Amino acid sequence: MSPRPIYSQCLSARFALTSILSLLLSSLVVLSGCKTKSDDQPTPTNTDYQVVIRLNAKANGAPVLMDRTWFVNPNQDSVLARSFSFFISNIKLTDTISGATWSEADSYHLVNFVSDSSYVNIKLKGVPQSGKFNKISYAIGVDQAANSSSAFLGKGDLVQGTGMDWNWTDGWKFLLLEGRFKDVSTNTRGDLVYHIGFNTNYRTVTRSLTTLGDLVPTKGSRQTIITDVNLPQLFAGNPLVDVATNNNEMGNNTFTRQIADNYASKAFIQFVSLQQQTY
Amino acid sequence: MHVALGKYSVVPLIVAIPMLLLSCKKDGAAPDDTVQYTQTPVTISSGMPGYPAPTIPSDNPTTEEGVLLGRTLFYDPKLSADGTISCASCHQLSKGMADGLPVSIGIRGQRTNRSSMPLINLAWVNKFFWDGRVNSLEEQSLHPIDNPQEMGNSIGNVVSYLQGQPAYVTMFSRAFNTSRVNPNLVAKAIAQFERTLVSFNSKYDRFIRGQEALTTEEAKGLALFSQHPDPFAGANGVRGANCNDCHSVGLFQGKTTGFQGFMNNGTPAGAGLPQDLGLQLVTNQTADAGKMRIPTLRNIALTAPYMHAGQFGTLADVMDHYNSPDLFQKPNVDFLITSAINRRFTTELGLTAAEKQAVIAFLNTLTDTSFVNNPAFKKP
Repeated sequence: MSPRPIYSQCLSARFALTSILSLLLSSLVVLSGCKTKSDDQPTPTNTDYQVVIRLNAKANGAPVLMDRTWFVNPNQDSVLARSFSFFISNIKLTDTISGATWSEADSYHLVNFVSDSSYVNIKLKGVPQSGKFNKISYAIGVDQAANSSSAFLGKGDLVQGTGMDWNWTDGWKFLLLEGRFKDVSTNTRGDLVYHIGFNTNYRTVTRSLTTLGDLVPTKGSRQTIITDVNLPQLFAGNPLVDVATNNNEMGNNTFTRQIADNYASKAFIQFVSLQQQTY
Repeated sequence: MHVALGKYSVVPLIVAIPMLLLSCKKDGAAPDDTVQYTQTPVTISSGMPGYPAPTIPSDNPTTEEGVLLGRTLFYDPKLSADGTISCASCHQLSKGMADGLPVSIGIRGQRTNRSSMPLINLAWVNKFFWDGRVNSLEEQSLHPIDNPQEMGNSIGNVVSYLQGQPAYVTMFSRAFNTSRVNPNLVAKAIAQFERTLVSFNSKYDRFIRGQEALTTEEAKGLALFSQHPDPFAGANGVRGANCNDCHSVGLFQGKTTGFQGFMNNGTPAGAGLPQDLGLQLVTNQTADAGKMRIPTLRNIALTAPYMHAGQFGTLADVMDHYNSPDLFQKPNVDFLITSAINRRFTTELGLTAAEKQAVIAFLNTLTDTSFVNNPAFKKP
């Protein structure tokens, strides 16, 4: 929308050698007073950099699309996820050399998987460029302070209307899995609704990145931490989750704590590799 | 802009310069494409912390000039074949931008097969119409014009009519810097106006902003609205009306990712109409049979009758539908409905009369009278 007198450049190039330069100059004075609509874009720069975590929805090594991909869980039951979302929050990176910790501000990322792509990217905001990091910690869920107060609304992805609102007493849904199941042993089919929340189901996780190599934010590059989110892992445990028995779960109880322990396990989010793209 | 410059390059300089010298005309002069207007940006916002950002297409930013043009088009019945129906015929401000009818009525009194959708907070919607058949408001805005049952015109006729009206041509110049009307610009202008139809000043919003308290019954209704019931939780279970599973608190509509905001809620066919396949008509997937867009519940008290063909006359009728013992047995009803029971080992939602009344009391807090009285939304 901002005015930019592009006529002057083009016309002066075209007619610079003509014998009516003085006439042209007089017209340019008038032209520069006209308002024009700009159609140009900001010039890309290489002074920016990004740090991204890619979360690939996976089951037994294969990508999972919402409402498209049936997968087999550890109990050998088949599951089709229609909606699968969770909060990954309070992300921290630890510096390889100094051991200092960087904490992302307003670190509440909603990971919401869809039917036409098997991955979600979350972009970390404000990672210091001076750093070199080999450890990450994060939480699944929303910490007690933010889970108990509407004062945190608007911070990160703590926004209304995403389907993760619960109510004002109980806070946010930390993880939502809705879909269908086929139970092989009992030959039953049914629907699956897991809404996991409550402060007791908040879990923090610390993971080493050393096998991937140091994360070094660099100008003109995008560093992507590639991870696999393994859906069958949600049904792990002893005993294994049997969807024929537990298919409609949303309280604060032994079962939901088992699901919380599962999403806190290393096998749920596996750190696969670190990629660097320059631009 | 570079296309326009190409024109100058073939015009003899002796002609071009006097033309260019005349190019800075004052407001009110005859439209001239060499005049370049500056548009004043309009910000679309919920004004509410913690609400998702609106989606504005990068090739159609909202501007005061575009909105005025769109608003004028919206209220112009000459866009229809016989000059009797405007967009505003079926989207009346006093009725929450719906029309109060079970199904909307087009030219020559024709009944359509669906209810007019309320036009509220459309910058937060990703799929349009009950069946989600278009992905943008720009595309949506032209459909009723050439639908034979609605405005029954052709977009070509509309463009010809507008091109012949100097006042319109001036408005197109001011909004889009061209005096040549085309369908794309008509769509853009109407979409710009529709995006300004923002409603975030209900009693509920004032409650969220800490400016007003809910009554005990309204607060009880909100708690029920938000809660998916769990009769197995603790000794007494957790009671819920389960509305929030689909009408997510805040925008009170479905999700805006793909078709996640479409569900089958077991609504029967409309009076005199066959069962509507809804989303299946778009995706050709039988699993999508009867799924409809989950509309916002904002201003819901103003937009009766309810559902895609006005099947229910009152909010009490709607509550009775969701509470019906028969609902769970209907084909293709979404499992978020059939998984919600308030008493163990039953197959119904099972709300009490007082609970239904509390939910309705809460729904009434979603009425935004400043929206329906906003002079900026009225006929210009």
